[in-house]
Amino acid sequence: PDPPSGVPESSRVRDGVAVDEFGLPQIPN
Amino acid sequence: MLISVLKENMAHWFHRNTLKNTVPVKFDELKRVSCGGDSNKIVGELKVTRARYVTLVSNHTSQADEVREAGLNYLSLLRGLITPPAEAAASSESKLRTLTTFKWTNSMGGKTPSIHADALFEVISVLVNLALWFTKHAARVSANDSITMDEAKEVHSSLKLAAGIFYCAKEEQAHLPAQIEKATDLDVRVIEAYLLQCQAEAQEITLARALELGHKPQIVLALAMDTHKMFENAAHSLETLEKLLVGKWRSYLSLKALFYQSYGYCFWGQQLLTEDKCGDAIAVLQMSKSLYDKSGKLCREYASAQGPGQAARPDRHPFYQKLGPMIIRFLEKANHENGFIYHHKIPEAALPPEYQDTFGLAKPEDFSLPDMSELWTPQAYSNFKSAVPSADKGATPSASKGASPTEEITPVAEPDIAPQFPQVPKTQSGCIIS
Repeated sequence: PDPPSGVPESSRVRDGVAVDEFGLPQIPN
Repeated sequence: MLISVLKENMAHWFHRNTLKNTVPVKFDELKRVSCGGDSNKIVGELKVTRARYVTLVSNHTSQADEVREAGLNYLSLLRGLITPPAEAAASSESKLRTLTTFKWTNSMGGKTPSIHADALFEVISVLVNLALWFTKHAARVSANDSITMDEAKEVHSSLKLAAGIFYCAKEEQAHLPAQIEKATDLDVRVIEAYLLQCQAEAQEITLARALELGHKPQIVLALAMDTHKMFENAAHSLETLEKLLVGKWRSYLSLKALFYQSYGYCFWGQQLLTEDKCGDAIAVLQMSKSLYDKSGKLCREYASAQGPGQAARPDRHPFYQKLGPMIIRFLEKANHENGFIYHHKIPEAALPPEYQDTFGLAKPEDFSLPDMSELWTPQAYSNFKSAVPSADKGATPSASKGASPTEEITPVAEPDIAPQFPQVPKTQSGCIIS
C-alpha cells in the first residue's frame, strides 16, 4: 500500500524504493 | 531538456460542475423543543457554524484550511442530530434527525433544490460540497501562470482529499432511505464518478511529474493506463443516468480516458522499440494514434455539448497537443527502422500493454466524519423534548421530496477559474527547458 500521507517524505518507501510525496521513486531511473 | 508539463498553465484542463447552494437554516423547529441551557447553545452553534461553512465554501478565494475546519466544525455538531450522545443512547437514531428541513441545489446544475427533512441529507450535502470546493481549489491553483512544485503538491493533495471526502459521502449515502432522487448528488453513481474523477486527476499530476523528472517509461505507461481505467470507470458510473444531465460531464471523463489510453499505448510502443520488437511497436503506435484521434473527436463533441459547470478545453492545451506529434514521431521512427533493419511483419492487432501498477497511484486521503461535538452531552440531548417531525414540510427520512416547481435557489456565483487561455510555449517543441 501507499505510505500514509503524514509520513515524512524521506521515510516513504514502496517496494523497497524511497518515494516522494507523489509516490514516485525519489531517484528517477 | 525536460518536458515541463507542471510548469505550464493548466487552466481549463479540468471539467468542473457547479457548487451546491442552499438557503439559511434557522433551526427554529429545534429551538421549539429545546428546554434551555445546553440545548439552546447547541441550536445557536448549529446556526452560526452552518452560516460560516456556507459562506466560506461559496467563495473560491477562501483559505483551504478555513474551509475544511468550518466544514468539520459544522459536521461535528450535525452528528448529534443523527445519533444520540453515547451515554444517552436509547436508540441508534437521534429523536432530532427529522426535525429540520434542509434545501440544497445539485452540482449538475439547476435552481430547483432537493429538499429533505433529514440531518443525514445535510451531512451528505455538506460533504459533497466540501469535496467539490477542493476540486475547484485544485483547478484554481493549477491555473496559475507558472505552477511551482509546492503548488503541484497542493493540487495533488487537494484532489486526494476531495476523493477521501467523496468516499466518506459514499459511505454515509448507504444509510439514506431508499427513496432518494436519482441523478442528484445523493445518487451513489454520481458520488462514485466524482470519487474516481478526483483520483484520476490526482494521477494526472503525478504522471506530469513523472514525465518532468524523466522517470522510466514503464512508470509512465503504468500511470497512464491506470489513469485511463479510472476515467473510464468514472464515465461508466454515469452510464445509466440521463444524458441531458450528465452527458457533457461524461464526455469529459471519456475523452480523458481515451487520451490516457493513447498515452499509455505510446509509451508501450516506445518500450517495444527499445526491445527491438519493431513490428509490434508499429501496431501499438498505430493504436495509440487511433485512440488519440478518437479523443480529439470526443473533445469536439464535448465542446459543443450542453451542460452545467465550467468546461475544460483539453485539446487546446499544450500537454494534449504534444501527444499527437510524439506518436507520429515514434511511428515514423519505427516504420523507418522496420524498413531498413527489422523487416518485421506488422500484426493486425496491437499487443495490450504489459505493466505493473507500482508507483504513483493516488489513493483517497483518509477522511472520516469528526467526533461528535463536546456540546452534545447526555444532559444537553435530554434537554430537547421528544421531537415532532417537521410540520410545515411533512417530510421524514423515508418521505423526503424534491422542491415544488416554484421553489428555486440561485446558484453560487462562480467566476471563471482562469479567464485567459494559456499561451502555447514559444519554443519550437512546445517544451520549456528546465
